[in-house]
Amino acid sequence: MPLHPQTPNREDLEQTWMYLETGISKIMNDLQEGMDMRAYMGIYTAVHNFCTSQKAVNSSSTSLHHQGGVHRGAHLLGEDLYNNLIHYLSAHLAGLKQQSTQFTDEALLAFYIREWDRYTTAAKYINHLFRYLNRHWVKREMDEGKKNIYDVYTLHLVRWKIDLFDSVQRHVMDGVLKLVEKQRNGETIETAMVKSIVDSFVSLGLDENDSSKSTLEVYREYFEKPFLESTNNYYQFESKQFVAENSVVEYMKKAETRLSEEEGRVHVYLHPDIMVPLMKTCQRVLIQEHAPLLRDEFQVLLNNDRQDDLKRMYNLLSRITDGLEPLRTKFEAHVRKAGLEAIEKVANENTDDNLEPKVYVDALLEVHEKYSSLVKIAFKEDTEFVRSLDNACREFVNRNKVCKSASSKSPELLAKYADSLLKKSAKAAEEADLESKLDSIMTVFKYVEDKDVFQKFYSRMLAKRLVHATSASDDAETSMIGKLKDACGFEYTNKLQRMFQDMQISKDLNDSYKEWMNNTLDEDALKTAVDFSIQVLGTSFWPLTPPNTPFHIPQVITKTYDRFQTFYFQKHSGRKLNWLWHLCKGDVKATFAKSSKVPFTFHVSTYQMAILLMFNDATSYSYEEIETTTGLSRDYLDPSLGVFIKAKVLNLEPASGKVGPGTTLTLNTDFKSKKIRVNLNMAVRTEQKQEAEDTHKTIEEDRKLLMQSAIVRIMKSRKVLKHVVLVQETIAQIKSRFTPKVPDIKKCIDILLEKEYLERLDGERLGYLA
Amino acid sequence: MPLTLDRRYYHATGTAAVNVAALHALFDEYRLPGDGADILSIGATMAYFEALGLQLEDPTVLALSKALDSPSMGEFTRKGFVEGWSQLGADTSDKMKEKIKGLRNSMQTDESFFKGVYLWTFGWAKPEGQKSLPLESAVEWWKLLLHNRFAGHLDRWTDFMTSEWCKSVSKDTWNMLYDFSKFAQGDPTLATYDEMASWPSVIDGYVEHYRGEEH
Amino acid sequence: MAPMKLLSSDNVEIEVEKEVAERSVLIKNMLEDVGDTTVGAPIPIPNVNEGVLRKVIEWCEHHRNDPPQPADEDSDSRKKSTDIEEWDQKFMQVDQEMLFEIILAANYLDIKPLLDVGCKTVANMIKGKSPEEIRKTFNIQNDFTPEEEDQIRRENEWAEDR
Repeated sequence: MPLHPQTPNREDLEQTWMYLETGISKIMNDLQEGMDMRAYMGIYTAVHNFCTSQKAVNSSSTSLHHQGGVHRGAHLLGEDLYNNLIHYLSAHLAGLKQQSTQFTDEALLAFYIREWDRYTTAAKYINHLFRYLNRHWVKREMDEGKKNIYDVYTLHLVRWKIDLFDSVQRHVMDGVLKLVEKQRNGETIETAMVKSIVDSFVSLGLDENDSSKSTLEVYREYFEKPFLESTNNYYQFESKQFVAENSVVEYMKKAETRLSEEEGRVHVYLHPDIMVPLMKTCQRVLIQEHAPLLRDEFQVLLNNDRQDDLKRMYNLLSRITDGLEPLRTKFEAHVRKAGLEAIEKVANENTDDNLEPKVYVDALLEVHEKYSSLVKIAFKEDTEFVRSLDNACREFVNRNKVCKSASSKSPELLAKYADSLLKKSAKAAEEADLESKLDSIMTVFKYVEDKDVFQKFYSRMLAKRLVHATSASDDAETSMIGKLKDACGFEYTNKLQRMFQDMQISKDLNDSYKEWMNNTLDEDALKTAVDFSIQVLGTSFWPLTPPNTPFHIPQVITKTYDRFQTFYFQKHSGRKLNWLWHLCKGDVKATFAKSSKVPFTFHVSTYQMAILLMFNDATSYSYEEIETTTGLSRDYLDPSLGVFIKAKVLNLEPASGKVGPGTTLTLNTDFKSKKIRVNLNMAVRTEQKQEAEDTHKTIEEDRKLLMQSAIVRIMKSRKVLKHVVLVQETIAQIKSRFTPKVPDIKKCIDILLEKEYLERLDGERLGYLA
Repeated sequence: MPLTLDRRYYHATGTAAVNVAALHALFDEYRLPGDGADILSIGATMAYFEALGLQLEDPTVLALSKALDSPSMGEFTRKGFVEGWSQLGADTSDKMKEKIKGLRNSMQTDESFFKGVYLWTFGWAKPEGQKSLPLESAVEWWKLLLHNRFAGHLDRWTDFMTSEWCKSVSKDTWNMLYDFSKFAQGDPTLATYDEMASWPSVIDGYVEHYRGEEH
Repeated sequence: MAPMKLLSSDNVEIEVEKEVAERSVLIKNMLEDVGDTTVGAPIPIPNVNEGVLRKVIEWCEHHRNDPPQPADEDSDSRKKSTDIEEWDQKFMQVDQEMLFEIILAANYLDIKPLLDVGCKTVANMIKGKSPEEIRKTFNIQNDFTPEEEDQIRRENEWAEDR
């Protein structure tokens, strides 16, 4: 065997081509038998030699001139080889086309794939072997912009497309689609087959402008298009049939499964490019076309708390445009209804006066909690659903059966609930628990429209907690104020914080008062001084009202009273002290009872103290005497005496009568009590109710002022404004505190017109009068 | 010599000169014994109106009072009387009667003239030192002024004011009622009334009341 | 790295490392395509004699670690300059016949960088010379008729150095 391959005469085209064709045929048909280096080098060298032969230059120069039509610096040979290769490939492919007609369906697919693999593998070899042609003749042709000249590999693809693909692709796709349908019907198929077909179709997409790049055009036209069409038909048929025979919930499960199957199909054997259009097709057929049916089921699912199915429905409808909008509307209405029903139930079970704030707030929270968790779990916290939830909650928090009498009922009850949590009590909540309860108050607070009402009640009750030292924890108080501040801003909680400051200042004040007494009083005076502590509170920050009754300060404490005023005015000249006797209290040691050697300590209000102190001088007084001495009005005197009579500290004569003029009160020396400390300072229930009414009344007043000042503020800066615009801007300014009603704003405008802060310039416009 | 006469005795009007002295004389003729030198009190005014054939239930009374710059109901000052009539161009009772006919005509046919009289009435009719007009008198003046001018709403409006609103009438309410009467003439059933527009609350209240009664 | 053998046209086996031999795209492709079926057998290089082949291998040895050529040839700056690195200049200091043999071999074996170096070397030999001098340098016989010569000169007038 010769060491070197026998190469043909480089100058003889016929001989050279025969040599090459033998080699190419071997590669095309029998490559599996292998190829030796000598044959390889032989073919390469033959191509090289032919292209570089001197004689060939002369023999084919005419045809070169004919083709290029331009004068070239050097002649490159190869066209004959290129054309011969085309003829060879066309003949080969015609053979394949002929063979392919024997096959259909999977057999055809197998044939196509087998031949495609063999052909493209051969193409790679031949491309290498013809590399010299590629590098020189082909390159030159392409550089000169000649169309339809490709490198040898691409030439193979082009010929495949023209000579075979165009006539077999329809049959091939039929096979593919049948195969996929089989799989959709639950059979196992050889997915690799489809994948090979996809790859082949993709490979055939050649960029017209740059044959080294591929496009998806062929694939999209001949694969994607029929694939989507058949998918559409398949699911259209299937879903119609399924829906007719199954429940909506079952259908949703089916649709969900189908969608994920199709997605998986893309990953396993389709081209990623089909994902979007395929999903679109499936979503249209599986969801869009059944959307009305799904939506009709939504209410049923809500009514039955079918969280999983709701989630399923959400996921499905979220995949189509505007799929969720109708659900949101229904959801909002449903939540609102649930809230209203919950409150109605609570309202029916309790009378207005009896309704425990906790019961009310818990009812609100329960509904909120239920649906906010639904939004979280089933609706992926979709912002639109969150908004619907908020809208619904705002509705039932502010407008429900309990609020029927007054929309301010919600904030009032909420504030009262907060008070019950923050007040010292037997069943004080654990700290962490308390914090979470305060948070839930904020959840409801967020929805309350009349935030000013909450503020009013809250500050009143906070004042009480501070004045009576009944607050359970400073930390909890601070934390709650912090939350309110976060929600409404500094201004909203300013007064609350000032109240805290006053408490601290008062503590210091008591210390310095004690020091002052030690420095100024002699020992005797110190010894006889009454134990005393005081809170001095800024009138403008504290929602406290002066006493409604005259009061004669009992002798025993006048000294203390005068002494403190002296001290205080020395410190702060020009200030005024209003003594809120109705909020004061004291301990009195009672030694009159025969039953006990240890004196009792009575915990009493100042008013009660004034009454008891009278009995140091005598054991019996007429009602009128007590009335004169204490100076108290009967509204205060009667309940104070009532407590003493009930506790049997005093005896009423006649015993059967009601306390009042004509009765006599005598000290009961037989007084008994299990405890040494007796709390006689009980708040009177009627007082509390009155207070709530007062609070509401002051809210009305405050609101008028707030609106008027907002109107004046707006007009001052704008000078002239249309009436309608002024109303809008006023609403905008005040909204964060409460929702003003237009007629109320108009009334305020009327008042300001009358007071001549404003003038009417014409029918529509108002002017500001400085 | 006429030329030496004090200027104030002569006033020129757009048309013809007026005998100012005659006006002064006429003023003095009606003045009652108790009246000040430059004032016609209510009694004098009544007599004067009677002489001119002017009925008190005639809204022309208001037009004339405005024209003569009456300071308050039933009173005229010498200055207002002389200057007013000079302006109007009348110095005898007969001429005055003619002019009054003219004023009556203007009240009926000249809308802006009427509006001027209507708006002027508030300040003239309200008690001195007060900002608003007592409801009772406001009702009387409305009856006088808006008769046949309120699309059938006059009685209902005054009833509403006396039985529901029960407050004295502010200048704004008075003024806006003119606009409202014009509005009602255009839309007697008030179907297009807009509570959100700049009407004062009292008119909103009336419309609400009216609609409540209608349905 | 496995040593392998190349067989020159005059039947001399030359041992060479695979990495070095693969500077030739022809050899690289062939090894890829044919695979290991013919382990040990020398690769026949029918168009290149021993002397030239050794020279080519010498160049490949030196350039064994060169980075692969950029695919986009137009952006290749080497094309636009006739700069040759020092080693290559020395390498190309051979007689004219050898120089052309190397160029032909590089073209055949598909070693583009070597082909470039060879062509640049020739270009440098031409640079600044008149046609007559060039003919002399490369021992070319002038086979143009005066008319042809005139036409060529006119056609290439634009490129002349002035």
